[in-house]
Amino acid sequence: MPRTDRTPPRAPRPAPASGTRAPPGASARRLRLRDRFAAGARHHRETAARSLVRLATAPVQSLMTVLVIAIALALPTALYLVVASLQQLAGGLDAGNRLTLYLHQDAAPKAIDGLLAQLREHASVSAVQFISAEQGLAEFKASSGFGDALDLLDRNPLPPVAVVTARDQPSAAALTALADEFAKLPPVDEVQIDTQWVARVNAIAAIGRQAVLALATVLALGVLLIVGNTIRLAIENCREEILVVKLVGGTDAFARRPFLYMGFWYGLGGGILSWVMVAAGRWWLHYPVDRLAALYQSQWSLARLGVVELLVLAIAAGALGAMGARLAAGRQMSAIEH
Amino acid sequence: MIRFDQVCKRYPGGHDALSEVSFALRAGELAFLTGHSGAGKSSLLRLIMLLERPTQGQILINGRGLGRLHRSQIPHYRRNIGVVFQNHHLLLDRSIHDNVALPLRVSGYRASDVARRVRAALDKVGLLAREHSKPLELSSGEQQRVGIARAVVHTPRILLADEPTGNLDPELSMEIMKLFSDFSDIGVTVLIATHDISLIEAMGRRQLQLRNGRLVAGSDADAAD
Repeated sequence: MPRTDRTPPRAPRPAPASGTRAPPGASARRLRLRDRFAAGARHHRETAARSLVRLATAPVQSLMTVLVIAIALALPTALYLVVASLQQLAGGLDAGNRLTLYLHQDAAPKAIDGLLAQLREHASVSAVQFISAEQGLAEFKASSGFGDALDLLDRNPLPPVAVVTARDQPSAAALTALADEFAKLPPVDEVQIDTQWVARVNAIAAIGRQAVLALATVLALGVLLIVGNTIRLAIENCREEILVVKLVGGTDAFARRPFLYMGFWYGLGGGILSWVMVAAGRWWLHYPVDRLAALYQSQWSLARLGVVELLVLAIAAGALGAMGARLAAGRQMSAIEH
Repeated sequence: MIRFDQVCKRYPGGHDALSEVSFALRAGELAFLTGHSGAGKSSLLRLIMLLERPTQGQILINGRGLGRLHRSQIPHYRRNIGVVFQNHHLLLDRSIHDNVALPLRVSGYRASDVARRVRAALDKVGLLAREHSKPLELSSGEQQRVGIARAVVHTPRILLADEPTGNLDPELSMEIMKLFSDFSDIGVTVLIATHDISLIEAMGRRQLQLRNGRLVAGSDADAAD
């Protein structure tokens, strides 16, 4: 009478003969979907808890595995922190505070005086330095070594320049806005922001981001292998249990589940521990970094690892662990038959 | 319920464990499978449990050929069979209750049903009081009875037993046999592999006798249709 579909048999069974006690409930074998779902959820809970307990029974070995995973994850996380700090450096707090205003060559001295007065009174400006066309040429002659050649020019090619230092440390956006504002003033021909170094830092950060991605990929693969290997051993130690589960009609998925949870716990533990490691490293480094920043009159500091990073790390590592376990359990599970 | 049709099982290496075995068991029938060790008793049971596939011939369970069952259907098929193993196959790190509950858990029974059925099955083998013990705290005979409780807890349609009385004294063996007999009375097809001759004679049931992989007595010609 064996049925092979997913619902257990529900054909009526012969009534128990008098004198025998069949296990009760024999006539109500039909399992409703809701009950099966509840039983499934319960099974997941129990399996998850049992797997955790099993890890706790071999604490040293479990801790070693978690530690290896944590170290593997801490490397890309630390690099991520460095890159994030770099980006902060480039994008926010200290984007330079100097604007170079090139004025029209034929601007009247009176207009230039008006402009300088206007700039000095501007709320966002802390200092203005004026370099006339003649001063500029003299400086250029002195510094470039083209002195005699420049004498051949029949007129001074350099424009008068006003170098404006902004008050405080405006963000890159604020500095750009200021530049746009000044560019509209009549004697101003062109405004240049001294942002080249910002672009360079951004480019370095972009390389760093790529490196984080590559490193994270490689080390994620490493975590898969670590968990996979550990789970392979665990399965080997639990042959008997898997065999019994399969003999009483447990599916491969059912037999596999404890090991997937085991992998998940390994990953989760490794993820959380890696966060702790990197956070500790950051704490260790942030005093000297702050001191260095202070020497540059900068408010800049190392980026922080927050709760979001903790969650991302823990969940991603947990998923990696479960995946590693799944890969390891796949073929091994179906090989255990007798 | 169980029907073998010219079944052969040859293991890699050329050893023929079973040759042209044919017999049929009706629903509710109880039969003994006898023969010296190596005669093919275990192989026959393994074929019914789909731990192995026959090299030739056909096995029909309730009219369905096992050859057509896909791998993924095997777990669901096995839920209709209860098996008592010679070496118990109990999980040592779990309580007696959890061991007996396993077949129900894999089928997704409701928690309340699980508890009720497990207690009923343990009561039947006289071990209700040991529900929370671990297997190693029990004697070998008691472990065997736990194995029987686990085999019947989900009221299977077929009950297979491999030397179920191997570790029991004659008195206890008789009790266990009485249990099996009760199950066959309520319609369960029971097949017991044993070489406990005195027991078989005391029971007076059908006997399938294997010798070197061939069925030498108890086939369809002698007994059931």
